[in-house]
Amino acid sequence: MKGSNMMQYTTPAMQIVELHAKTAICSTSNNSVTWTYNNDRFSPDQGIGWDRPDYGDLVNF
Amino acid sequence: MKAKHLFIPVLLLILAACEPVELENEYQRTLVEGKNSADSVYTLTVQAFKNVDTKALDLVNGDQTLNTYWKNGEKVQVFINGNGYGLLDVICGDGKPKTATLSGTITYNGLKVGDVLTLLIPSRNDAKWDYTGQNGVLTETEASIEKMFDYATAILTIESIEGTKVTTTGPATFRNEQSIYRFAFTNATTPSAVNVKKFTIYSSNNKISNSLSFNGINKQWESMFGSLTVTASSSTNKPLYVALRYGDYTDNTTAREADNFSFDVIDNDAALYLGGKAVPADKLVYGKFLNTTINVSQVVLNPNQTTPATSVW
Repeated sequence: MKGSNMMQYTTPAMQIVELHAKTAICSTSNNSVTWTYNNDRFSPDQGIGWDRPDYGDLVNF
Repeated sequence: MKAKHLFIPVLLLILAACEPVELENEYQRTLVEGKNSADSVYTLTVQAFKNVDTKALDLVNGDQTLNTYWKNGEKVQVFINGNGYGLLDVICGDGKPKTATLSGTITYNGLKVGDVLTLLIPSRNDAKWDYTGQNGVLTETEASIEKMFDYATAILTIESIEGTKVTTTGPATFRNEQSIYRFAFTNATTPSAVNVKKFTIYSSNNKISNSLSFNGINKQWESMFGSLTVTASSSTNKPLYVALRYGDYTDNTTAREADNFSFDVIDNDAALYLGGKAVPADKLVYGKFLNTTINVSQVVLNPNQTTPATSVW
């Protein structure tokens, strides 16, 4: 990421970062670095992503 | 008067003349910083999964089940090495979509392999991970567990940066960092529910977390342990809820030791009650919804005593 030649010419240094469960993919253009989803890897149907578990049923003690 | 009238236009001319120079210097400085790994601004968008509703916590099934949801308007804090680098907004679609996007801007001096990103909810105005100041309310109010103490994290490690590809490791889920306990207090003598104004919990093993901070040497979040006081907004004889983190464990499978909690309770008439409860090890894990009743005994001062008598439970 820091190795991008384009970074040093970006004013201000701007990166668009999109993270999903395992991998973020980025591409470079003339004066910016843009991170985008790899849509093949990121799919709700595949269950990839950040989930938040329930606390569930009450347990007595 | 004439001199004053001349001074202001001249001052404005001087300021106007300086402006382009400052902008040019700023531009040059930015280019130099870019070559020297200056702080970068990252716009971070995280696709997150869970049911979305208007509540973060949802007590259902006759108060027997506690579910979690993303909440519209909720924010997620992003920490690197214990320092907050930005907030992500929870963006939800209409209805109850299964996914939510977390989006926002963080500023950081270049990610590198091994960097750990901690995504933490809820985001508090004081940016703290703190369990003190609870009022026993589960949802809705400003100081409720839902808004202030229902912490969940997703911890990600930058595994590799290869050209244009960054790979992170770590669980692809948020983890609840505490359990939610529901405590009811019963006067062991009457017996009837105590009208509780305030109570304090003590751990025999001193493992009740008060707050967490990041240890830069161990690269871990670590608790300050101590007693935990819950102060009800108004006294109540109904059960009170507590977000309680016991110890610092990286998972729920690490064995805990059973503990004995002791309680002191102040009722609406400022009477003091003492009680205790043995807590099995499997009731000290994170992410559970737990319920118990504590039998407490009122402490009656002997006129000749200067300290409260020891209560027996």
